[in-house]
Amino acid sequence: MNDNYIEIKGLYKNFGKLKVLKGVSCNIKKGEKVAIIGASGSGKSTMLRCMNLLETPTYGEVWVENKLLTPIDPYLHFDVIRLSKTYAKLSEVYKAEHPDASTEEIDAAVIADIKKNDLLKNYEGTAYRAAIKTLYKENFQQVDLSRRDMGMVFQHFNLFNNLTVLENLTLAPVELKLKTKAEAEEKAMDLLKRIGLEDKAKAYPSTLSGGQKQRIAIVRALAMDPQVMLFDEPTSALDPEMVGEVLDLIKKVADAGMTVVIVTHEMGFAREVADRVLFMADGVILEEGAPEELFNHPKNPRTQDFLSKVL
Amino acid sequence: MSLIEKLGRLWNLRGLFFESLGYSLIIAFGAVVLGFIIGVLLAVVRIAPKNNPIIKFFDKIAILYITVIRGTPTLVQLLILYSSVLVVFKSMSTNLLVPIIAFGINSGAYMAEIIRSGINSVDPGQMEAGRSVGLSWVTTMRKIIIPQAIKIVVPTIFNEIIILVKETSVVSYIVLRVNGIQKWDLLGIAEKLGLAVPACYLIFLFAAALLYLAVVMLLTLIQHLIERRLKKNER
Ligand SMILES: Nc1ncnc2c1ncn2[C@@H]1O[C@H](COP(=O)(O)OP(=O)(O)O)[C@@H](O)[C@H]1O
Ligand SMILES: [Mg+2]
Repeated sequence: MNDNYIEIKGLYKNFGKLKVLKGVSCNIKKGEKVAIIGASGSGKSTMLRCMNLLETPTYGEVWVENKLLTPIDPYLHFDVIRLSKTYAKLSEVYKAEHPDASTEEIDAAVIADIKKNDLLKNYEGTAYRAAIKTLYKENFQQVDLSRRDMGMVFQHFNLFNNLTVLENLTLAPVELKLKTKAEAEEKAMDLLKRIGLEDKAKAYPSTLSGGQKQRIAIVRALAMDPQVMLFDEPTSALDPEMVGEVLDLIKKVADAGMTVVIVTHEMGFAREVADRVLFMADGVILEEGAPEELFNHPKNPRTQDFLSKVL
Repeated sequence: MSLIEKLGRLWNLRGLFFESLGYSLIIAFGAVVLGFIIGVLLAVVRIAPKNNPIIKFFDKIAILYITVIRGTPTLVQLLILYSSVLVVFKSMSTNLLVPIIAFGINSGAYMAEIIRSGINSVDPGQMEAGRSVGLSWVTTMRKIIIPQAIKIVVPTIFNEIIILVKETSVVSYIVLRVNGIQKWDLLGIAEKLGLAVPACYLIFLFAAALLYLAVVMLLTLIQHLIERRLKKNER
């Protein structure tokens, strides 16, 4: 257990032969604001989308609030291994052979042995298989559960085109039985008022400007009372005059204490809002640090090169 | 016989035409319903995420079904089903179900492709947005994707229904029976009467054509009403 809200461990993502993420690890603490920068095609969006499993990583683990989201291999999962008869038997044997070993040592050695030689598949009974099944199911359902706590804002807004603005905000809370329809609508109207768009409640997305769409997409995510907000280039598809209103709203959300991960090309905004900036290139995090550190004294030559082009 | 008398006699045959139109419509309607159900099922199987072997297996079956049905003529399919039924049941006093099933199976393959491509043409960002707020695949399909896909597929589905209505005319190749009595579809009755009165064959064909046209125009009207209704909630 630790205070990281999101933990990414050794993430790899291939699209067919194309290797997009090549071993990314990072932790996001509760309340932290993290900006991800880097050239187009460096894997920023892919990494962000792996955080809520919109992309399934090829290897590696994603943990959110200490829950594993990436598919487990039930046969190799620690908790399950410890339930097995094989584990019990091997522990006995190991203890007899190494009387001085600590519990942790025994545990590590036995689990390593079981994993290495794939000892579980054949020798365990129905109770064990049931445990695996439960674990597998829980892991599968965890993705949808965790996504409720992770709001996501897309470059192209992705408002639900067949629903009104109000329905966009209330659909998920009501469908998932988190709120009654009346509660959800009250909350939605409150959010719309805060962004000054309450008169658009009954409008359909096709009638809105880009800036309005994106601000509504942001409050749609907020309507779920998320713990963290993921932004994927939220202003890149906007006309320049609308960028400001959207950045202002994101800043308000950040200042209210929300955990924020934002992929952005707005370096000024990243510098102003972020606690930490990650620079990605070729599917890895090349450099990370506090904004003043990374923007003023980049260490890696590629970071320097990138920043000299965009600043 | 005066011209008036001749026309009067022809007019007296209208009941036969309307009865036959009825059989054509029953067959077409049954086939559309069956085809739509088959089409939706096949499309769902084709589109579902292929994350378990059962879905993968059904997907293969669906692909095979669509390939075979679209790859062979409707008339051949009808004759194969009709002959197989004859082999198994010898005779049926009412066999309207045979063309309904044959055309339904046929139309299902086309409907499946229409529905599948309609769903696929909805922006993938819609599914991602639905999933990102924690909705399941099924809920997102139901609440977001399918309502948008319906709007896209209405014109093509109606096109398929119109083709199907006209295609039912190939049932004149088989013997239709209702309660043991032979009956004819719209083209069938024109053919039968044409054999009896060859001089009027063309007139009978025109009469049949006119009735098909009337049905198609009615369907087109319904299509426009539905399209207008669907468009309304967007402004
Ligand atoms: N669904 C996908 N299928 C195939 N290739 C993809 C897919 N998504 C992204 N890519 C590729 O992965 C690379 C990194 O993409 P992305 O993560 O979007 O980069 P960034 O957001 O940093 O611009 C690009 O070369 C892109 O073409
Ligand atoms: Mg991107």
